[in-house]
Amino acid sequence: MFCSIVPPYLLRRLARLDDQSLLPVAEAAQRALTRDAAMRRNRNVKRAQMPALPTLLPSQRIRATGLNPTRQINDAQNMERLPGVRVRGEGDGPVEDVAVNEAYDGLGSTFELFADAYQRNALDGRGGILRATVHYGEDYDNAFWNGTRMVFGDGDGRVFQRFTKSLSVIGHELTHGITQHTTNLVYQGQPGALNESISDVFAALVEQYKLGHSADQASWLIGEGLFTDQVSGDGLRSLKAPGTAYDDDVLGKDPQPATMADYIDTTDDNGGVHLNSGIPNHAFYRLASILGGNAWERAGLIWYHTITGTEVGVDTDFAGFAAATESAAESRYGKDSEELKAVTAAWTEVGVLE
Amino acid sequence: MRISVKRTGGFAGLTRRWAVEVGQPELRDEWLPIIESCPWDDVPQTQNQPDRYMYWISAGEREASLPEQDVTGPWRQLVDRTLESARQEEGRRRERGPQGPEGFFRDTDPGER
Repeated sequence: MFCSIVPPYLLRRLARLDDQSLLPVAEAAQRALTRDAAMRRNRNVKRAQMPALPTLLPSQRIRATGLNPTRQINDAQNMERLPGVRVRGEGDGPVEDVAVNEAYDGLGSTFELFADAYQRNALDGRGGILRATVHYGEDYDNAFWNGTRMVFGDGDGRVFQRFTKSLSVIGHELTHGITQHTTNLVYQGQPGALNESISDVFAALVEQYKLGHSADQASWLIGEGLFTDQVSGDGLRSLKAPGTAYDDDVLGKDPQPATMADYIDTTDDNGGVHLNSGIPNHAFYRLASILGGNAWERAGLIWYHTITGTEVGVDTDFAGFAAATESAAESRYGKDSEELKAVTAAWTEVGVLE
Repeated sequence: MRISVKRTGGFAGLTRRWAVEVGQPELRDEWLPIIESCPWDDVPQTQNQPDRYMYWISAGEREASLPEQDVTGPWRQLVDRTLESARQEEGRRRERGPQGPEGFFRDTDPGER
């Protein structure tokens, strides 16, 4: 068994280098990536049986999994009309508009997590186009998923900056697209809060994977960097400590509960989907921190198998989802595994399981 | 007549409220035509799109709850006019007397906190 000391994200960056003088570095990085991917597929594989390594780097776009995104970025030109004008397509170079480039890169980072860690080819699993529109509306303080594309406002400049600024916002919106193709949880009440939480969980993992952060190094914040410096807050939500992401004179305090004891019954916000998502969010954080290491590996895989399995449907509630994560952990790691014990412990801590 | 708008949800999950008290003749000339063209009794029960806003709108005794993508036509006119008037009222209040914390997100509906 050999391990690469250079983290995958750095290898990928090196593998993409265009500079001719650095080509050997890029080749070496590409070889390491191919090797690591093969190791991940089958940890018992013998070195002699490993597939032939490429001797020359054919293209910066060829990735370890062989999967590549197709991205399309449009500009709504500050109107509330979709899709807007096409401004950047797959393989096009950066443009002057920073929001366009952030969206393009963020779609790429999100695609990468799902491709590398879960071998998923885009939102539909079949390499479908990733679509985004930037500059939606005037001073629009929001980002959303409309069923076919992710849409970003510029923010008002006083409370919020542009919504492409935080990679976790991009990861969150794209994960709504994955949910639409998998569990299709209704956007109301507990199923809606699970829909929200799944988006927050994978959004956090997109950032962690890109930064090479393990569970204990990660911020576990959603929307970090979105607030202007006039707001007292680190981000919009915290998976690590729901209810503590911001505390501001004007905005008030982050209202998210971390456990069922503080569950919020409300008709606002489709039945509190952005509030009670704090509970499953925190369960995932607890699982990841009990297991330690990289959260996108075991904890993320259990969640991914849960949402792509058959146990979660459109109206699954917290308890049903918790049971489905236990099934996913058991079928992958076994009945007596530390993974299954950690899943049960995490849901027990947040009061969903007794 | 009291006209109010509550906006919940959105990616940030922040609730905002705006309200105005409108008297005659402004109500009759400028507001009622819009209010009466809103289909209060025929609000579609559409499921909201992820991370879009939910609006709760009331004018006197009438009220309706609808997702952002359905806030079009007279609904949109009513919401935009309410927000605009509430902000103007807030501006006048600031000019008049001692202030609380100033800010874009400050609720302009102190009656419903």
